[in-house]
Amino acid sequence: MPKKIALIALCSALFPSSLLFSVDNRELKIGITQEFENPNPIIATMLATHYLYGFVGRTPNVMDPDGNDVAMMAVETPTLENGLAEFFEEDGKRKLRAHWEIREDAHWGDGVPVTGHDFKLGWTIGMSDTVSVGEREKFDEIERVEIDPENPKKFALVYDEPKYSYFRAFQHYFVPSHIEGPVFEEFGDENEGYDKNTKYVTDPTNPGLYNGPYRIAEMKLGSHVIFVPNEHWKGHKPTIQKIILKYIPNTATLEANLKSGTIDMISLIGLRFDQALAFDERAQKDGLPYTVNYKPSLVYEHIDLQVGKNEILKDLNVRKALVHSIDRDLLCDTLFDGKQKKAIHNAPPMDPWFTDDPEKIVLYRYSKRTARRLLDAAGWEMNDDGYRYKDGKRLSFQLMTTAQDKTRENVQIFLQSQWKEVGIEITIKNEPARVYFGETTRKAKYPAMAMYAWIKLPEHSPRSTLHSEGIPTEANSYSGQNSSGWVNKEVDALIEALELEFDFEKRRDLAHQVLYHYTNEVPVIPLYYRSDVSVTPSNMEGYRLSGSLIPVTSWAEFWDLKN
Amino acid sequence: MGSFILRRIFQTLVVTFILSFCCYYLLTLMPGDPIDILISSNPNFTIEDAERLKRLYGADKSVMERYANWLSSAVKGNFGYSRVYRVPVADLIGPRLMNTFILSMAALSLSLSIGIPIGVLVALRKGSKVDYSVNFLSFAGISIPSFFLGILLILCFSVYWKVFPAGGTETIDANLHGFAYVLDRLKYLVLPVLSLTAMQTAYYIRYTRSSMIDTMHMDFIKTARAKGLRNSIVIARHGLRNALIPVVTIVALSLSTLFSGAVITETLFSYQGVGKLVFDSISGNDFNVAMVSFIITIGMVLVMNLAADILYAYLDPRIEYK
Repeated sequence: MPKKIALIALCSALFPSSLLFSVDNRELKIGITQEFENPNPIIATMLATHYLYGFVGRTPNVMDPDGNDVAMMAVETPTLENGLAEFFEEDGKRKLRAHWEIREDAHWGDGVPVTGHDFKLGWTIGMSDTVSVGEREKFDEIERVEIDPENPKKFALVYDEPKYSYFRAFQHYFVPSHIEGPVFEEFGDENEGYDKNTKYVTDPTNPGLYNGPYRIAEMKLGSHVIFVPNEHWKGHKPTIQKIILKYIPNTATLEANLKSGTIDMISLIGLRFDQALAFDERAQKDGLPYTVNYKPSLVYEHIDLQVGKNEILKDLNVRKALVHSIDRDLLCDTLFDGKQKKAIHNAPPMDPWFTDDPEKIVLYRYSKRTARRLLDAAGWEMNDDGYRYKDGKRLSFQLMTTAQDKTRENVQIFLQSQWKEVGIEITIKNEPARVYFGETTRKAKYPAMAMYAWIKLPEHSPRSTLHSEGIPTEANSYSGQNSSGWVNKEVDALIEALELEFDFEKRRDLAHQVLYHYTNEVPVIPLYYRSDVSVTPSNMEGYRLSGSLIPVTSWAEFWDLKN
Repeated sequence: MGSFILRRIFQTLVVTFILSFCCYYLLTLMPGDPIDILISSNPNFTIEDAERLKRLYGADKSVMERYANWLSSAVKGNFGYSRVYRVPVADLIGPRLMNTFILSMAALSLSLSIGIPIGVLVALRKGSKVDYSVNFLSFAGISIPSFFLGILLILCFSVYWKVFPAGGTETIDANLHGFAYVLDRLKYLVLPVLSLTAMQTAYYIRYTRSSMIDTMHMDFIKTARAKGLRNSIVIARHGLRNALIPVVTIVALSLSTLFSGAVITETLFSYQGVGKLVFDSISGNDFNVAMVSFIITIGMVLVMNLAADILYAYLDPRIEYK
């Protein structure tokens, strides 16, 4: 008898009833495939860290899933139109001052009000040479932060070389000056001293570090983070009482984890697109209680053509023939079930600069006949072996991309067969991401074609990718991203002009002129605009993918698991 | 024996020092350091940003100078800071190392406790139905890739029967203590241990069987039988003890690779071990984490080989060290 009781006790412990899962507002478990770093928003670089920070931190304003700029911690976004931003003269220079006011009810998790001092500390840390902040442009463009001595909730940002994007403060974070101020004061002078001693590393569950609807209750790097509602959050009360973000490194086991109840949903940093499509089909067929969410994003998949160095690709007819000979609609329908759309240039539909007006840009329809005519005109004649030759040389290009990326490998095979039909040979060479992005694309070392993606914010200046000064060279430490080596002085001038244009209509017009040259000269073959994808429980409401760099968790307080 | 051990420890330290420099130098030769990756992934990253970070990380200094800085900190017990995870390396590796140790030791103990007795059994019944059946299963165990077996285990035991969790190290936010905590950890260990054990057991069966068959044909076994010793004593004291020498070598090598050998299993089962961290740190040029991983791996290989040498002398009195 005692043996039987012991056996029952062992079975109960090993096979608890909790494994028979149900999803409601008591707890939500999210799977994520990227590991996260410490949650200090100023020094974080990983996408997963920004995803987790969305639960616990809020920025002055944000871009919502419809692409509109909306205030979050701020009362209102300052613009020239509403009078909260103004030009002024100082030291003979035209500067811009943007007045911000933080919501009266904005508090840190320990009850201390969020003030302009917290914004200023974040900016000061970002400007420090001893802190390992990646890209510093967003801090550099602010000359100073002026805090209202009467009301610390009010502060102004002064820009000495103002750009049209001044009102976008969603890449700036508040840092609790009452907690992090003393740390920065003590360790800010030594190299990476602040990085190592910030309370986000030494005491990440301190409620005072977070000003969002949730706070971190437990954090184990490489395993999970637990979020619970922030008692001092005065905005919309979060409905889900506990959220667990669980790191699951292998995408192949995400579905098994979901079906076994180990997780309840898969974040957008999870399934590959082909995996999501396959799961969607199975979920619908088997009636599984999950919804696969798709949202067109700002990620632009394309092929850079080596127009700067490759003699064959310097011929515009060849470049145009390359675009005409591929059926990108068929590619999107076949490989992505139509859920990722054909790209026509580098501004995705979510970007206000997007246009498909044939009077403003050059559109390329799928036409093998046109492609053949262009290649004939370029002197490339079809031979009996099915390939084109000129002066005894075969028309052949090497197409490179990241190794072990199944989606890109499928696209390569699709394109290879399409280009073969017009007599172009494509050889494939793929490299590990680290080599490909660290050497090949960064130093423009690919011989002909490089397939990869760019992500950008709406209305983002294409200076680094299209301006001639962005061509990576040894002289600029290979820091530019115009790896095609495309030079168009008119485009350079247009980019410089649009960065200083504060009128939206005029700025858009300048951007469309850039797009005209971009589509007419084809330094890049646009392939498709990617979609964000995630899996949520069917009973989940209030969940909207952003499609942008803004994490979907920025609206986590509205998520609701209906019974 | 004492001087032999001292000599080997000294050799171990010298080899560790030389190999640590080789590893450091090889890491610097890999294309695409973290700053390169930032440049290529962020259109806003400027020349000034790249130069500032290189200065901050010391990447503008020579390899020798950087290695000397790393070494001087490491000998003081300061293994630095992970630039990928932005936490001290010791905080990052410590708990994961323990988890990997538990997983690997559990798998190894289970494999040995199954593999050696079965290996002996089938060696003594060579050519029997049992021998053929075990051989078949052993080859199956060796042939099935661990990731495939892992996925099968997850599908059967987690998705369909919901008996064990699909992944993790322990129940999150359970606040368990004592026996309940141990049981909870065991629950998460079952599938990864099974996945690792299948292949290891098959190897140990094959090695033990082969070695035991050879040993049982040796002259000293015939002498032992001629002396009238009981069969069990002949097998255990004379046969198995000698047959274990090659197995000890294999076990020592297995132990030395336990640090990085469970990468696939840990990844599949989301087990919070050190295997994937090591892999990611090398791929991501996270120097400090990668270097600590190298040092531990090198140390384990050398120490385990030393342990194996000492065990040889215990198992076979004819072996002595001068």
